[in-house]
Amino acid sequence: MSDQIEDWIAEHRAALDTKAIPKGLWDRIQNNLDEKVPATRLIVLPKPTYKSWYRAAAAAILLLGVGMGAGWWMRDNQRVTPTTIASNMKFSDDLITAEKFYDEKINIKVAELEARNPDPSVMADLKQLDEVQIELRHELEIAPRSSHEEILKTLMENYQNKLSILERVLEYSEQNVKNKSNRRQNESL
Amino acid sequence: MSLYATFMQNSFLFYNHSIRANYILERVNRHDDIVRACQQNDRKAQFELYRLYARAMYNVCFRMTNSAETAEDALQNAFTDVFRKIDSFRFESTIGAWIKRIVVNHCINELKKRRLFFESLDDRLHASPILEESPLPESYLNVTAIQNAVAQLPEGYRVVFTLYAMEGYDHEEIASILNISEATSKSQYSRAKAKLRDVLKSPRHLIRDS
Repeated sequence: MSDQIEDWIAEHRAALDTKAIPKGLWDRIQNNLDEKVPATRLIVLPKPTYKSWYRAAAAAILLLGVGMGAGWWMRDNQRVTPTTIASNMKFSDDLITAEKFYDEKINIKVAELEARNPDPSVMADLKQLDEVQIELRHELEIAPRSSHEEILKTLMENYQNKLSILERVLEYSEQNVKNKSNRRQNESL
Repeated sequence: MSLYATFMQNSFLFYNHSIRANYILERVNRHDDIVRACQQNDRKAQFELYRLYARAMYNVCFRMTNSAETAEDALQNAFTDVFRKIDSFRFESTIGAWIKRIVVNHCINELKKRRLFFESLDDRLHASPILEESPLPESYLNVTAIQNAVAQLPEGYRVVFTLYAMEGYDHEEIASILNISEATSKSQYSRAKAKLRDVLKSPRHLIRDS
């Protein structure tokens, strides 16, 4: 016997995934991956003597010194240079220009389509592409810089797909209106 | 059917069959490439795999553990495991199913840490039989209502219900995952459904949802 709740869930399965990924999770996973897995081999250490304690203490002091020196050096070298600011600005400027370009074109096409009272399924699909866009923009914020190029590419492809769908649907619509009026003219002759 | 409706349907089908099919095929093929790159320890590919599955898997974790914090811990450990063990993935199942199994195991471990899970499974094993009931009004079923009702199920019920009704595992698989008998899985599931109906019908639940 079919079950009402099971059927409902099967039909709306995707809609139940409403929770967004917590921010910073990928960074924590990366940190886990960068940690070395502890070796399981048992290392037998020699019994410590006074000499070995001195050696260990000297090594620790040396390590501390090297660590502090490296810290100072890194702090000086991590300052943001004008070049990095410029490249970041260029990246966001390009994105804004591209999005503005696509948004303007898409808005005009959507308005045209809405005026023709389209099938809800087409609008639902366009909405799905909007959701993908929102997700991609969120990922752009949280993803490592090395992945930005790939995400931007997907974001632009998404815009292009949306525009191409709209153009195709409108093209078919116009063609059909023309065919219809031609048929009417032929019938009246 | 009007000409316009036919056109819309055709254009939608055309869109479906050309763009979407190619897109999906491309994605499926790309997943294999991504997995192979992950097996070479490629960090970019690891992020791509995470990007593809993290959201769905986080929702699995949240439903199973009923806690954002526990779900996050489970997912973090699960993905760390996924990338550490991806060498053992032999392309015999889909990568999604393989990842989901690891995620589910991590959720079970998190629940075991809280020591709630098995108690609730055992306690309710011999409860009274479930009677057939009339269908619920359609208005009682919506995303928020189902999510809230599932969240109110006792731990053991919720896990079995989530695995069966939402994640698509059968009772044999659930029995193996939870280390229980198939009969226990079935009985827990039936009782979970009955409880879910009760919660969905309760006035408090309706008021909160509206």
